[in-house]
Amino acid sequence: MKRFSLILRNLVRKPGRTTALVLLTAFLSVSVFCGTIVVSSLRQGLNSMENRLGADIIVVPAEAESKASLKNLLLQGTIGTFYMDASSVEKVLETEGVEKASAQVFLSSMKADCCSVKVQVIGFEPENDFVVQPWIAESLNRSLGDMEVVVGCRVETDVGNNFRIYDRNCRVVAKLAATGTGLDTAVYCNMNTIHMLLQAAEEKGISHKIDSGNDSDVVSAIYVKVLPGSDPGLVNSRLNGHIRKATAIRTAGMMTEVADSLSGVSGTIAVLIASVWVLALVILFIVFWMMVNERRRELAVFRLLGMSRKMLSGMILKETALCSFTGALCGVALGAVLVFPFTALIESSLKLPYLTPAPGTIVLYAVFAITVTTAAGCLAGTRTAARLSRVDPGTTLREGA
Amino acid sequence: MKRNVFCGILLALAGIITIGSFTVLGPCVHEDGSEAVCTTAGRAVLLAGCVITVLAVLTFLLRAPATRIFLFFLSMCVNTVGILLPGTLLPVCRMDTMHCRTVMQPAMIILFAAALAVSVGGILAERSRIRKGRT
Repeated sequence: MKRFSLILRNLVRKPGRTTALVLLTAFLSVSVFCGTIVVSSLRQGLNSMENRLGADIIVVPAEAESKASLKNLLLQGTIGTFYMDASSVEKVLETEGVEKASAQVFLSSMKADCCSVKVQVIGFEPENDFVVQPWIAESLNRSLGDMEVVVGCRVETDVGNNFRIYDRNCRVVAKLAATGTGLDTAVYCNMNTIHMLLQAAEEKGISHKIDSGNDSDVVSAIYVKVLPGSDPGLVNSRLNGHIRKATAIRTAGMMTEVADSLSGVSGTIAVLIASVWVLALVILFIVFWMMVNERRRELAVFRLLGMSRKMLSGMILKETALCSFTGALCGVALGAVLVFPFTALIESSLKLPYLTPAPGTIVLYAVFAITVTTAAGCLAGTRTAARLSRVDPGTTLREGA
Repeated sequence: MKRNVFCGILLALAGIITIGSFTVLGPCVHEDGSEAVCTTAGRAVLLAGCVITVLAVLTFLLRAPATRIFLFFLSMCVNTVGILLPGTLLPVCRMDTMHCRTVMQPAMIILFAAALAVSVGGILAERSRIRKGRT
């Protein structure tokens, strides 16, 4: 304890040097912690998107690609309202290689009473659905009734509340778990409800350009599951040839695009972390090298007072470890302040699925960042400790005199 | 010089809060120019920022430790209110993808919390100065 108090006094008496060491290691720790959290959140978001996207192919009206990219709809919750004839569902089911097909109808609210922005309302068939229903089943253990809605985790309303869309009151019966995608900001309802809402929108003078004039004759997207053993690419080509005024898109392609973007972002983050580390380690080595000259006389006095070389190098290493550990702790705390409150901002800036890891995993990353940073600090200080412990007290003190 | 460290940091934070509240850290802006739900919260944050700026400048100018403690205490109160302004005392937009929820609210909470910590630090520093003066 007495020796530890000597280390503390050494650090306190040189506030500039101590602060510089703490700041440098904090810098290293921030980069490791923030980088790890962002990359792991992106990976988790991609996994979640893969799990949620249970379909192999999505059939959308040909105009949908120009009106609102389906990828943007899924990733960023971009509002997309496009319609095609409901008879397309039958045509899809007739296509060779199709196992299941489930239709969805999209509608954008004017301004939901919850907020100042539009929300995407998605109508689906609970009895045929294999995309949304398994996900909803995690939060709601009964079928969705008329004028009942399930909301994404980012729609700010609670279960049991009423949610007004086009002056119609819908009852919120469940809130979904986070997916890290744009679907977290969507509202889900059954087909009867969506048709009532389409009608309400028409009454408000908001035209959705439905060619047939009948709301119940339209769908926005058809999610397709191919038969096991069938080639999704071939089925996709058949669908493109079979259904007029519609485009079939393979979800695998969409996922590959997202995965490519993710690996790009991960690569950039890795390069940034590496640059920060190289720079900070170089500075750390320079600081320690300067310390050798600065503390030569001080350590010579310690040697004259009876400290062994081992004790001396141990003391320097302990000082370095303490500074590095404090810096690493501060860095993790700063990283947490920078990353967690701004999760939504990071997600919208990267335009990629982003799902923050569980608290246990975050704690593990924090421990990892602290350990790595402290180890790097100690490693940088080892050589200095060895050099300083070899100081010959007589020569050093004579030189200074 | 050392005496003004806390005032300096407080003034810098107050400046960021004040300027940020009507620029990058401000409330949502509608394309049609209409007011968003969070506009009032944005204005209140601006007002709180101005008050802290004035308090920080006064702390710079006035040298008496007791007066400084009082000013830091006032700043502490304003900062506490500032933390609660966006979202607790005044509403922000309810969709958490909105600018006020993604940027203004977290940034202002962090800045006001930092200013609060600086104010507490300032009070402690002035108190230790009074104690040293007595001994």
